[in-house]
Amino acid sequence: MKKIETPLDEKTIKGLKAGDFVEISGIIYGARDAAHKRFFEIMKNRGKLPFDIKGQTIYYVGPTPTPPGFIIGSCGPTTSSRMDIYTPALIKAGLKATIGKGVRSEAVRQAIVKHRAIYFITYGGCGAYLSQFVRECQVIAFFELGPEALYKIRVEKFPVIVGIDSTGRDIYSF
Amino acid sequence: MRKIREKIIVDRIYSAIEKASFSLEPQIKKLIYKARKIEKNKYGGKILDAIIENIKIAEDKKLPLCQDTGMVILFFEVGSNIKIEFKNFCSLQELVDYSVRNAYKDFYLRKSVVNVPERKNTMDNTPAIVWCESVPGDEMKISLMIKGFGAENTSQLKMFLPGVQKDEIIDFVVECVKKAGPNPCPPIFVGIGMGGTSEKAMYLSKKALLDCGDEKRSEMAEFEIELISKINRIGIGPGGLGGITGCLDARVKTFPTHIAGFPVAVSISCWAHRIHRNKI
Repeated sequence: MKKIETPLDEKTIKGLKAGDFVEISGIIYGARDAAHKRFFEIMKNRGKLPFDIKGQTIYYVGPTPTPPGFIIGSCGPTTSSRMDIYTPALIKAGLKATIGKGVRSEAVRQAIVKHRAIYFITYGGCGAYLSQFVRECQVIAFFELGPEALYKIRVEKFPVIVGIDSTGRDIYSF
Repeated sequence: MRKIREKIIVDRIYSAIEKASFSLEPQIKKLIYKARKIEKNKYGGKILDAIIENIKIAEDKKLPLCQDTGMVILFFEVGSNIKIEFKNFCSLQELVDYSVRNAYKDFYLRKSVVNVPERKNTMDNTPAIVWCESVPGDEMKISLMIKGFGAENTSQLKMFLPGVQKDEIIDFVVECVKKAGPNPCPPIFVGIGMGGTSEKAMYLSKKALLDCGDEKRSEMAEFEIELISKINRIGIGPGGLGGITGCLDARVKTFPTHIAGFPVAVSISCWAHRIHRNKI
């Protein structure tokens, strides 16, 4: 089990290989389909993203509403491939890691190699389990999108597996 | 004529949503535990451990099993001797939506339904999908399914020619599962609809999913068992990361079709197969 902290530097990313079990601690940003569409529009108009994307990690998640007394609701990964059309541009802008589930497109894999980024997968459908690793959670933009808003999430030892490493090796083609 | 008050149906649906959101039916859980016992793959085994832990946490803390609390599907089978006494609602759809709205608010479930084509969230997870069949008798069956879209997006329909061989159908389903890969959150359940028209086949494939885990199989048992073993032989495994337990069950429902065709529909459900069956 490897332990890493966000934001990620190149040395950390280089040390991770497809198939490694990893625990992530630090800040990650939760965003899915609608938030990505917004990022894309902002970048197209040369606007400013609601957070500094350099070195950051995006988790493809739309949590359930937080019940009273909880930090977050269920928060498992959604299917990453729906974000494939947006990901290369975000990686080019400095995004270092994404967390989701499932296979990525060839364009995403190439962007990962070119910009020395990384793709993690985590446990699909295990939203209750994964919520146990969240220490803080707040919506920081796109409130009106409800579950598709942009979340800032602080995690501790959040369990992931390296899906595509910085050399382009893909766990799904083992 | 047997009369059923609308309030009874409203309450049953409300509590069915509650039950299905936080815990799996015993027959589904049993298949997951059984898979853990036989899965040797390093990744597949680890995924199943997380799933089992997830099931425990969801039950203990009353957190939804999955953050995708889905679209709600209701299958009614209404006996011909039944009269539903509508008072506050004008239709089953209206009644179901009332229950869905309240349950999704009260139990902190995610509101995932958007209108089309604007894709604006309806903010209460309505409308639900409501199917109603008229059947003989004086009972009313209510079956609920909470369907996440990671799995739903992998549904497929193929209009085969009448001369299609059994092996071609099996190959088609196995190919669907292969193509779906890790997206529907394996280990999966597979529902197959055979015959009827295109939409009837799709409908049957969803109804077939309701039978997953039941001890009794239909007259298609042999086909189902062969299919499960062929799917598991491709080695998709839990999480799509490898192993022999990628498919926990497959069920088939059939209906007569036209001399000129043979529709076959495939619906896939994730391991968090959230169903609840009720009888009034």
